[in-house]
Amino acid sequence: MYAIVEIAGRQYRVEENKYLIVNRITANEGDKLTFDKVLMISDKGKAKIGEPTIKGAVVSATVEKHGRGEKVVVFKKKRRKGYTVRNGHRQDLTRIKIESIKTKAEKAATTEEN
Amino acid sequence: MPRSVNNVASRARRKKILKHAKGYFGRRSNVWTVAKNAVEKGWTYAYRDRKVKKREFRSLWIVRINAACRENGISYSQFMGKLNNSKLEINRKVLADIAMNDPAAFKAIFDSVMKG
Repeated sequence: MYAIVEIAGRQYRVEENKYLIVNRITANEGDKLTFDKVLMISDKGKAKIGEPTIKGAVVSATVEKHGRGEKVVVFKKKRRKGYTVRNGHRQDLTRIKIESIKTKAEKAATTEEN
Repeated sequence: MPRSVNNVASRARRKKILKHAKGYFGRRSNVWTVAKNAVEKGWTYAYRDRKVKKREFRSLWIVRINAACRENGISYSQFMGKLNNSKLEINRKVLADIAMNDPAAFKAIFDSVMKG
């Protein structure tokens, strides 16, 4: 069973109890998140397709860890012009754990966080 | 008066770059003048290719989606035209993944795009 869900502007294929690394989400470690932009859910070969999202479907996750990606060297140079730029960059990332994929949301428990 | 040279600092400065040239072919890994150019060129390519990577992956996804569409008897461009007119918002990255790993689900998307 997997779902296609939009998290912070990007679409991911998520499965329950799996980890996912996404761009930094503003939340504390251990926080629970819910994503309600579920575009598709496929369960045992049967696909449910949202137009564009499945109404009431919710993917909930917990924030595992905040971290940073590998360092990337940003280097630019123009010949004979005395122009050199060298910067390092590490992308802020968040590792989340997908707790559950639900087709129908339980109203009381979920909070809007994303 | 003795001549003073800044040996320690210049060695450290060069070492910093030479560290990145490890594993390069021949003099590119050991000789300062050559290694410096090689490393800088490498970083320049890396910078450019991080952008090229995005294009290449997009075209790979298109190839995959096209293959899946043609199995269902329609071309990629026809399918995309229909998809854009439909309410679905699934992007190419995900579509290609589904097309490759879950043909049944792709067929379901395909059918809902076609009827819409």
